[in-house]
Amino acid sequence: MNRRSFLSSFDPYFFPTLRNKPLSPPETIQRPTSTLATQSSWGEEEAKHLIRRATFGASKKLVAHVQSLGLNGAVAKLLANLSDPFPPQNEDEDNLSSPTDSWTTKAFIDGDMNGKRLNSLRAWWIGLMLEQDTSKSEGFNIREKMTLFWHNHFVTESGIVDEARYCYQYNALLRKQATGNYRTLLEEITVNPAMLKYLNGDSNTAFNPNENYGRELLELFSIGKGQQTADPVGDYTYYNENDVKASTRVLTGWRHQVTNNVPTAYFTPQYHDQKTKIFSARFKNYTIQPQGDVEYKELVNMILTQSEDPLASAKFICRRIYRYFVYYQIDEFTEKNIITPLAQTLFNSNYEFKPVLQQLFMSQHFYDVLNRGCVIKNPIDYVVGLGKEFELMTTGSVDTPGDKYKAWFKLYEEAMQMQLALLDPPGVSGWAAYGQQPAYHEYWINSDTMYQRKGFTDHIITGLDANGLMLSINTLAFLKKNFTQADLSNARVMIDKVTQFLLPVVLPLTQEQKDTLLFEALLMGLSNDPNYWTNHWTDYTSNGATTEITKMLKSFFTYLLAMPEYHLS
Amino acid sequence: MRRRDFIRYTSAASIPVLAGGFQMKALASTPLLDLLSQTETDKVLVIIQLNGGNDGLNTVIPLDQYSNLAAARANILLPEPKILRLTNSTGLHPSMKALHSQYQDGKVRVIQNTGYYPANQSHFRSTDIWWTAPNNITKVIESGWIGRYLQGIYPGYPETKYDHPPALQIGAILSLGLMGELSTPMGISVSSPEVFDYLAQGAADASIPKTAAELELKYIRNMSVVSGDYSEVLRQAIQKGANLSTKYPASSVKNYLAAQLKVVARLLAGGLKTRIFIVNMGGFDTHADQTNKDSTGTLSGTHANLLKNLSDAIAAFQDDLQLLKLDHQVAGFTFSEFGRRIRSNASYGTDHGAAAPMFVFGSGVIPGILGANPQIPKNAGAGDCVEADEDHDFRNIYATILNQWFGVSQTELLRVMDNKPDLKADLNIFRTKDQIDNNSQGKLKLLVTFPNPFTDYTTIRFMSGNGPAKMNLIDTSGKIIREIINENLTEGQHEVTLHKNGLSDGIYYIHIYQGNEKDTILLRAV
Repeated sequence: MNRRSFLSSFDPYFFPTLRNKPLSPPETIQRPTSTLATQSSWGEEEAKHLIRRATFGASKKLVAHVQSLGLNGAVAKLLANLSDPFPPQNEDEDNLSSPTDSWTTKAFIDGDMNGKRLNSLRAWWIGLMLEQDTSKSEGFNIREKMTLFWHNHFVTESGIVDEARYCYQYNALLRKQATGNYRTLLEEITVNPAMLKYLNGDSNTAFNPNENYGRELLELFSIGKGQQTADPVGDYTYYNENDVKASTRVLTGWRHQVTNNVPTAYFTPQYHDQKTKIFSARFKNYTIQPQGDVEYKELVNMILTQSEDPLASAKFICRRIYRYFVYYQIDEFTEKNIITPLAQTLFNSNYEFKPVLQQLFMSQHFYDVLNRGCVIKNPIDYVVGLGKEFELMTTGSVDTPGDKYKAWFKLYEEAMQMQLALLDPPGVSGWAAYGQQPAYHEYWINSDTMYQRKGFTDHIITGLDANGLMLSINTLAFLKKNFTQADLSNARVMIDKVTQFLLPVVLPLTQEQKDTLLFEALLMGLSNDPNYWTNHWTDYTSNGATTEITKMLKSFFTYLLAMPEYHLS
Repeated sequence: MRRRDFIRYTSAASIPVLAGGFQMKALASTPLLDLLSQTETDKVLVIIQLNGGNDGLNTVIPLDQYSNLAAARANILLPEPKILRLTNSTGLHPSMKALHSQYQDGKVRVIQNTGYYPANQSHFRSTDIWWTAPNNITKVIESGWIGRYLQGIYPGYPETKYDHPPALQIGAILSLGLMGELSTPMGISVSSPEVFDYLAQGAADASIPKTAAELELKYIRNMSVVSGDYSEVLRQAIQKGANLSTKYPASSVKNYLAAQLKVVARLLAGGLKTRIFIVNMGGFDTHADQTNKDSTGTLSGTHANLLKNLSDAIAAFQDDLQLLKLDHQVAGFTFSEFGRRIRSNASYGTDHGAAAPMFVFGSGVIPGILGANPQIPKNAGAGDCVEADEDHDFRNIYATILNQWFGVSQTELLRVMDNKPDLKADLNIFRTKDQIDNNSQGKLKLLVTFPNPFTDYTTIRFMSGNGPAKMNLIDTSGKIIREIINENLTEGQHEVTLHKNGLSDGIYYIHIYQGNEKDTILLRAV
């Protein structure tokens, strides 16, 4: 990739944060040559890799648990179906001690309350991500990570949908089909009330077609845009402008309303285009006969199965899966040996998603050391992951359901500052990190977001004000719970163990970095003798003296969590 | 820092604009307010924090107390003949040759017995006291003296954007000293000097990434180099600036302080208008093995190495500033949270003490020593410390520096120094603006008089241009006591000896005139 030429081609005004991006020569890195053949070795590092990539981070206890399951057991548990969670609650109108009492089935009140409902939905989702895989029976599971994946793929924005009950229903659909059937999800999202609202499906009629959804369905949601050809009608290799028009006609006549407080889509035959729809050669001139309210299903099926390249749609979604879970660069080898076989699996399984995820997470390629430590944590990974690593919700003073909502909402706000606002992707194509060439994940990082990230870690150590609730991690408890006395009493060993757990082991720290962590961060420049720590640790364990080690640990973790390595998963 | 305030004063207050999926901050770029013109705008202060508590008695040695020192700290005692002479009665650690030469060139002010009374012997609390400078040392406050000072000069920061950061700290964690009121950080921190090398070289985090993980790490490293909105101005300054001195230690020496000061000089050379820099050096908590136990003796060991690094770093920095012609703009000082006990312990070390000397350096200082040697009791007990001179309370020193270096008014000083009663801002630390300006323009300059104070005779070293010149000894009432020189001089450095010869003890000034230039230096006969 030649970054220099990339930089010069953009107006810096619109990419202000890229001005600081260092100009580098073309870089070639070694990419894995391992395949989807089943991974054989399984240890702590593999378990950690799986948890961090397929969920949002891991406590040390969870790593041990997942490791004990073995590869097969771990992936089975990761992909197991979960029961539906209790719905979100809003403390201004719901009884938090009754978990089924939820605004999601109550009447609309006003804009103010609607805003509070949206915030409760955001907080609640963070709660699901954060608390799902503790030691509870649901355990460790991919569901919320996939729900976020679909949110980025089938985008709606709450500011445009503007109705919390619609947003909840949309979010619940993504969760229900998180690892389900891709065809079913495409069908359901096409007539989902929030989506009908967001992409104007509700104003698409036979007399006044609105192409918004029809276009995004092809371009972003299903088969994707390929190279534009010289064809004057606008041919994008996998579909052309005629197909956008034909799809739009198929989708005419859909409306939505709230019935018994539930958003409901319905079909109005009088607004539906009753004529036959004929597609281009890209779909082998496929024809959809008039069938009213089931035509959309045939459209989805056509896209998935009737392309000139029958795997085109499957490959498109598998590339997105790859960029989300593995790495953003897809070279020829990866396309041929990973993407194509995964797409074939999806196609062969009649678009069931689990076989694809299972194949990926069982593969040598996924666990290849060259694929470790190279994903830049998205803001949710970063915030929720830290919460899990340090068991934020159990070591803090978060007790009541009301406190939990406060804590969860604070984490949502932190991720928002870092440019990932749940329910509000920046546009219909989702977050740049997953769709924008050439930098992809690197778009998460700029001088502003780095500042926000450091602000978060700095303050979660001393106390983050969550609307009156002080939220903080207990670094001393973290150490005592996860490491042995012998490890902890020796500063160098302690630093090795903690960094091996929190930072990618494929990026080993240099002696200089370790010395900095020891002398500058932990010992705060007070001493050149590592025993300085040992003495204070002993003073703590024998006499309960916490003042000095608390200061030292604060300094140490402030430094450690701000290290560039900590942003990588 | 409370998070809510942090948010309030940083991100939330700037206006986020969504464009192309990125948050942009609307830069309400405000020209520096009129306030700035009321004070010196081109002055820079560099603060060197010595973490751990420096042993002042083995740094600036009271030679007139040597026998009492010998009794109290025999195992770490420096051999008397090796101690570098500042005056007849005061000396410098033998490993500080470079700083000694700076002293002889008139670039160093030593302030004796600085600190506060009674001294707190916790590293953390005492460091907090030095940074926050409360009016009463038992009072815990959450803002620092530099932060409060800068808030008066940079109103509205950081919501209001200024072209250059008010303060820059080299280090991972912003010190309490830079925290303004209402938890407003008044500066930015940059983790290490090395990251500037990446910036300066544009691309090169020298490594060439071989794996995806290394590629992304490199990217994040380069992006995390500088926090906040100042990355571009820092990058430009580092690319535009260059160090001129060859005296910086090689990187193999691992003189981390020198590396930090080198970056500061380079940023200043590149046009950065930051007012205050904080650098630091650790390892001074020498409870054991402060000096070597073996036959190499007390001249070597941990403390000797620390002081050599400190001395070499300051000297190289000063040399660089002179070559860059920035020396009249930049001053620096060292401080440590406390000194150490008079008595050494059996581990060849010293425990936490109280007062200690400070070095103020730069072309603007009044050369020599301020204050008398500490008094060492005949039989110092295990808990005995050097106590701070009342006038040399660190808050008086800060106030004086703010007043004499930055021109801070008396009323503003009171606010910055937390309305400390009996605050003094008139210690003899810096020369007046006229003296400095004249010197920076012309060739005439009194470099040093050595020793000072003197009992027998003193040697005056000075620079001149070509032409007739006069040098007089003047008393505090302004009366000429003695004419020292009245002759035609050629351009260059000269020395002249002044004998006491019946002068009564007390304070004198040496004035030198040549053309329309003049210079003054303070001298004490004892």
